[in-house]
Amino acid sequence: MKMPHRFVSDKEIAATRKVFAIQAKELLNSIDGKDVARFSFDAEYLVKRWSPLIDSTLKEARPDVFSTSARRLAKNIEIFRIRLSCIIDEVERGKVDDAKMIEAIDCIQEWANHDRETIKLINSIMTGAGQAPFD
Amino acid sequence: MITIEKAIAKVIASQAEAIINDSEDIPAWDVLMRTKQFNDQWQIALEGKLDEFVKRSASCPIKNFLEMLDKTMGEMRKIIQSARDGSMNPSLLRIAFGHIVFHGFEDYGDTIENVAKIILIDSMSENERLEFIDDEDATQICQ
Repeated sequence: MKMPHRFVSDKEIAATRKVFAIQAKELLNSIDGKDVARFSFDAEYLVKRWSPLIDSTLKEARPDVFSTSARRLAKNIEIFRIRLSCIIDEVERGKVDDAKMIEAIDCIQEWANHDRETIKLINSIMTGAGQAPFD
Repeated sequence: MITIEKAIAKVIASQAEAIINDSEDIPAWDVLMRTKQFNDQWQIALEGKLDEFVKRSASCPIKNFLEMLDKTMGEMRKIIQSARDGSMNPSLLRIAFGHIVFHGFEDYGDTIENVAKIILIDSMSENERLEFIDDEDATQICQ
């Protein structure tokens, strides 16, 4: 039996949308500046952390320098860039439904031990004063 | 009779060619690591031609990385060319191989064996060579 989701406020969902957009945009902007190994790790981290919001196209196109050939890498970067921009747009405009966003929040909670920063960011956006209700 | 310098140059050319042939299909990072290993091994003979590319590729942004990898492979092609046309400095080839022999079989076993095989095959009669050539590795390095 599927467990019902815990109560998640609209504020928390809105803050999560914002945080996803901030982190995904930051990754997109770093394609031209961050070193190749660092970018690969960061892309993997973003895809795993926000897994419920990431579709298979983006997962497959992850530009992972450690497992992707040079021939594929160039294509993957372009697909990744385009697809991630679309997902950011969908999340920001609220086209991704709340149920998916709640899944994303749950996913972040599961990562809580090694991803305190994301939770803190969501909380500070929610409260506007940097208060962290999860802490 | 083949000289040791020519045998060394042949091995350099075949190792560089193997990296180029695989470069499109294996992970991009592995291409860089194999090139780095190749450069570390033959640095003296290569006169630092790959140093900058290898060093910069690891720390450049992903977009420039592909361009850099492409340039590195271009440089590798030039190395193959000079290894084949005999224009590599023979003294440096000897010094580079001396460095490899000094480090021994544990680190560079394949390279030492391949240079030895080329010299050995060259000293064989036609019949001996045909028998030996059954060995797949020997066929490759003879080419």
